[in-house]
Amino acid sequence: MENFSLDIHDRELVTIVGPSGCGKSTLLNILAGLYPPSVGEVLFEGRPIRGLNPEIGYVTQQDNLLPWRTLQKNVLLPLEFRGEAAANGAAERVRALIAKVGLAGFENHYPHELSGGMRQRANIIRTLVYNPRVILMDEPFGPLDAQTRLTLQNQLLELWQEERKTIIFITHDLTEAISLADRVVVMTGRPGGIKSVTPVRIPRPRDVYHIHQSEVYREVYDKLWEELRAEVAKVM
Amino acid sequence: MTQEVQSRPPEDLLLPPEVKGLRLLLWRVRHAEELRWVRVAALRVVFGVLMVALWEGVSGRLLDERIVSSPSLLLEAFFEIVSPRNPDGSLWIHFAYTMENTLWGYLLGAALGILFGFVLAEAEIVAQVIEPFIMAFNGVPRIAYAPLFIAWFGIERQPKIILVLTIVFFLTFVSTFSGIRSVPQELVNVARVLGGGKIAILRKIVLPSASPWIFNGLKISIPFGMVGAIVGEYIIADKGLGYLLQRYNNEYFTTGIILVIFILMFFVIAVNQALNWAEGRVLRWRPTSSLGQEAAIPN
Repeated sequence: MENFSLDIHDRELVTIVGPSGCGKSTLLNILAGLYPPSVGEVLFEGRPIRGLNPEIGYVTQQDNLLPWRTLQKNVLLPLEFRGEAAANGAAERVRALIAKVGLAGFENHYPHELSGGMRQRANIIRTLVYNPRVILMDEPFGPLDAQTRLTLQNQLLELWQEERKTIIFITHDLTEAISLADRVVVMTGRPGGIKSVTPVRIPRPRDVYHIHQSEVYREVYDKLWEELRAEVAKVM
Repeated sequence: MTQEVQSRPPEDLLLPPEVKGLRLLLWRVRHAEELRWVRVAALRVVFGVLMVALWEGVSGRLLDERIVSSPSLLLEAFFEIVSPRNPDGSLWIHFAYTMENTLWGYLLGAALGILFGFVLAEAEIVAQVIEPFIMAFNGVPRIAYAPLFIAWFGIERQPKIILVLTIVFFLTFVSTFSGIRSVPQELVNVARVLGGGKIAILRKIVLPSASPWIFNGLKISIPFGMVGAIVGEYIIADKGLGYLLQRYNNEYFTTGIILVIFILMFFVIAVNQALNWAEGRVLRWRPTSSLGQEAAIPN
């Protein structure tokens, strides 16, 4: 990656699209602090990030739930790591989040007893439960079928509206990128850089099921698709 | 209603409604899918009885009784050998001696094996350095070390325990080591991002993830550990099942040898059964059968 400079505002939902192999996931791994950047730096509230930042959550494409823990225990894990699992209100928060994403009644199921969509919801609330300020999402709905995808996008917007986190969301799906975002970033092919940053001026709360009928949506879609097509063509 | 009738197995429809009581029970045992285990158990008993009958039948007629023994001779020998008046001491003394040695060697070997497996899986460079040494030591059949252990540790129970220990150690060590090496890196990364420290990750991610491997090592160690105890006694001892085997061998007492083999068989089956039960409890989270479960999951 080269020449990648982007300011992300507090409580903003930014989506990133780009050709495969342009370094989208690398970007998130660096932001999460899993790997240091070879050149340059990442500033979080003006301070450079060194190592893992407890205020940054990371939702990966694979749900990575622990197969030996029930849904409830999986969501509780980050609180256990922080020594807050037995604290007042911890169990209630876990239960409330589980209910909010429609998983009530499945608390004591193991991951292999849940569907892909349910596991991904569990993955998301496992990150929400410890209240990170920023959440990175790497194609979290990638492996899901179209209907489940829409439902989860809708739920994500509701959660974001309530919890007001800063979210950086990577996707391959232009519609998804536009439905969710305040701003959409298009990345260039190798070396990965920023091609454009487009604000999406569709009022909130949005209806992900009918967003494609909006005039603004179509304009943004056409613009982004032209830009993206040029980049994809370069890589091929 | 129609649906219910259709979903039943066809045999169910053939059952006349007046069949009740014992006849109904017998019918169900023969046909019902949920009583399959009863059928299997019953057929196993039949198979076992047939084998015993065949053995009894040919022994002394087609084959020499002194070579193949027979179930009745075995039973006779069993009652003789369990009797406290037996000049060799009762069977229980020998059995307990072997089992105690096995147990001590097993516990020590397993504890050390698991501990070393953990430590070496974390200390990459040490593991790489000593790997060929470990493989060289482990590659030699254990019986070759037996005379050394006797020279070093005497002829009492110590060399037998050590022999068991070395066998169990390697099996549990290798399985623990491999188990930890195969912990998915994604899970460790996720745990780090979620705020897990080194110790917490070891306890909450690595240990449970490696536990099926560790269990496997513990399970296969049992019969191999017993081999160690018996080989040790076979070489030199005045007690134990291995000693009995060695004595009976010198006396051409086939019945006694077969009797000891049977005792070992029953013991290994019992211990394995117990470990399977424990494993099932600890590893409850593992999918047992994905069939039929999938359908019940909503999205």
